[in-house]
Parts: sequence; structure tokens; C-alpha cells
Amino acid sequence: MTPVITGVGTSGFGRFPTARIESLAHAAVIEALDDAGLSPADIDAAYIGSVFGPAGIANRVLAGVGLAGIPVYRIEAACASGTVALHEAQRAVRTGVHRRVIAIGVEQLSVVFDGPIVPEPTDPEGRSGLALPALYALQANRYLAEHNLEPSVLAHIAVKNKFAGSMNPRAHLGGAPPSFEQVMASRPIAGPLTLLQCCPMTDGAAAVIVADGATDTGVPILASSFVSGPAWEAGCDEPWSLRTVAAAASSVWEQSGLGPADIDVAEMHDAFTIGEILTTEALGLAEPGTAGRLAAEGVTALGGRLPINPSGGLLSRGHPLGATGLAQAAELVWQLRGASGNRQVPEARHALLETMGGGAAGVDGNACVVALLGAER
Amino acid sequence: MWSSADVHLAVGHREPPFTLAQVDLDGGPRVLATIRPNGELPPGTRVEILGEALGDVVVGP
Repeated sequence: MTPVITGVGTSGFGRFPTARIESLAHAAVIEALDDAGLSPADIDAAYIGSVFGPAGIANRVLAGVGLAGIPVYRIEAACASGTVALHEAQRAVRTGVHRRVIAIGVEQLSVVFDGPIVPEPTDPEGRSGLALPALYALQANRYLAEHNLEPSVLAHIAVKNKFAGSMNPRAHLGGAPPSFEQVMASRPIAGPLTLLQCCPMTDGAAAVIVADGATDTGVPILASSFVSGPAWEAGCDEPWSLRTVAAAASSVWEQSGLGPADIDVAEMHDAFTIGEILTTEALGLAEPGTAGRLAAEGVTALGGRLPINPSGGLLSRGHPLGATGLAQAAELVWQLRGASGNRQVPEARHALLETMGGGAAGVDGNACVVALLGAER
Repeated sequence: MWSSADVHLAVGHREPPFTLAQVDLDGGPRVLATIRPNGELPPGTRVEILGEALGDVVVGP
């Protein structure tokens, strides 16, 4: 049984400190139900991704939209929480456990943090002050040295994604896109990463309904893989997260019989510019050392051969941790339906989704999900 | 030195700028360390453990 995404919805993305977190989720759930043509009574189970949401958030969200009383599972897998929820939802349908499942992601970071996310203080990384921008900066400096590249190669990712985000009415940072010079001149954050190369702290929600039968606008989930990071230790020459992403991608290619050359559009984890570069290469969508150049040349921009992050990505749409993966899925569903307006990738048939959750000490990422959506071969 | 990066954010009790590094110890594990004096070093640079501060390994060229 190939699971099919029959409905998607999102809230707007931004900073909403006075909103109730439940109301953010309700906007996404109601849109997804309406999109699928379903009522709450049609849903068999719910998987909810949230990292910093309060205790009981899953049940409170469901109760407010008439979904109380069904099996509900809350998932925390750092930035991949929403995508793991989607993975589990599609698995429940694929294996016949449930017929119609909703995956929901919700986060309200504006009421939890004044500035950047503070690393977990009981981890060595937290004790040493290794906030996530610094973790990615370490990988950036290693990558640039290995491939003999200039730091400016990173900035092209921000320019590309913020341009795409400027056309996304739901984006957190959807205003006029910055120039390459503005990205480079924004204040330094860590290593080669400047402010405009870092995603914003975002509030928002997204929801995806997965069902066991095709509909006119349904999008099949051809494959999905969820990998927890192995130990990342001395002797591993690959930057942090690379092996985990590559392992998840390898499983998706094996499940689907498709490969990188079959992909028409992708949404991936660009919390920091180096993240998109490393991920593009780990997924096999670019040769090592070339992803920045492909962005600069427009190959991975809207209008290029393989648009990456047409939603604006985390850099522009924003990064409401638990909701991010499902917002990525919603964008790809709209792309595959031909419903993305001026961000539409022409004739998109196969779309790749990747989300990386990171941060735990000593491992190559907490979790990574890669999923392949689109037409059967 | 596997990699290093200057950090320009205040994180916990640390005031910017400070420099963090991932260091592969000879025959040992990869550890997170602080570089003294501040400043990024090219990957592959050999460094020595200078001591410990606030529970962190401190390294330098």
C-alpha cells in the first residue's frame, strides 16, 4: 500500500508571541482537513512533532479541532521532529495500522528564547558554548579547506533561498531579498557564517494528512527513511551530519528504484547556508565541492535544472523546529500539484524532502529523514 | 585540528569572541576544545593541550 498525502496546511510563519500555540496548529490542521476533503471524524491517529512545545500540547491541539480520543503520539527529534512525525504517519498507513493519519508540527520559539537557541548545558557542546551556528561553522571551515573554496561560496545559498522566499506569502522573512554583498556584509555570527546565512527563530505550524487511497490531488509517498546518527568521532573525515544524510538517502533510492537524476525539486535543511551545501552533496544531487557553485550559477535556483528550497527554505520561510519538516512537505505537495504560483517548478514529477535534526553530543545528528514524493515510476 | 571557528555570539557564560575547535587527539577521541589565544587555525594544524578552563580542554599551536 503506497501512502498518499491527501491534504496539507500551514499557519503563517513569523514571530507570534501573543498567539496561543494551539491556534497556530489549528490553522494548519483546518487547512489540511479542508484540503483533503475530510472531517475530524475521518482521522484515525495523530503524530505530533514539537521540540519546545509545552507538556500536553499534542492533546490540547487535537481537542481544539475535534480530534480528541484518537491515538496520539508526540515526537521530539530536534529539527526533524515534524518529518519524523510524517515518517511514522506514512509507516502506519503503509503497514495497514491506520487508514487516515494526520502529522502535525508546531512550535512557538518566541515565547521560549530571547535570542538563539541555547545549547543543552549538560552536553559537552553546551558546556563549551557550541551553539548550533558554531557547530555548522566548524563544518563550513572544514569543507572550505578541503575543497579549497572561498567563504563567499556560502553566501550564494542565502541569496538564492531568500529570493525564492520573497515570493512566498507564508514566509517569515519574505520581504525584499538581500544582495550577495548584503549577505556578505551582515554581521559575523560564527566562522564564515554571517547573520543572513542563519535561519530565523520562527513560530508556526504545519499539518499533513496521509491516507491509504489515491485522490485527484493526492501525492504518493514513494519512499521514506529515518536514520538516527551514529557516533561521530576521531577518524571520521566527513563533516558532521554527512554520513547520516547519505544513509537515509541511500535507503530511499533503494526503496523507490529511483535516483538523484530523477529528482525535479527538493526541500532540504538549510538552517545555515553550509547545511544546504553539505546536504545537496550528501543526497547525491551534486558532486562534492560543487553545491555552492551550482547555486551561484542558478542550477539550484528557481528556473534552474534542479530547484532547491523553492519555498525559501529555513533561511527565509523560517525554522519553527517541530513544524519545519511538514512545511517542507507542504511546499513539495504544492509543487507536485502545480499549485505553487510564481514559485512553480515546471513539470515537477518527483520531489525530495530532507530534514536534519542535530545537536546531541558525540553523534552525527539526532535524526535525519529523507522522503521521496511524486508519481509512481 | 579537525576544524575551528570564531564565535561572535554570547553563549551561556561565554562572552564573544571566542574560538572553538574540534581536535582529534593522537590515538584518542575527537574532543571539543577552546583555542587560546583566540583565532581560527587551518584544519590539519597540530596543536597541544595547554590545560583546562571551566571544564573545557584548552588547546593552542
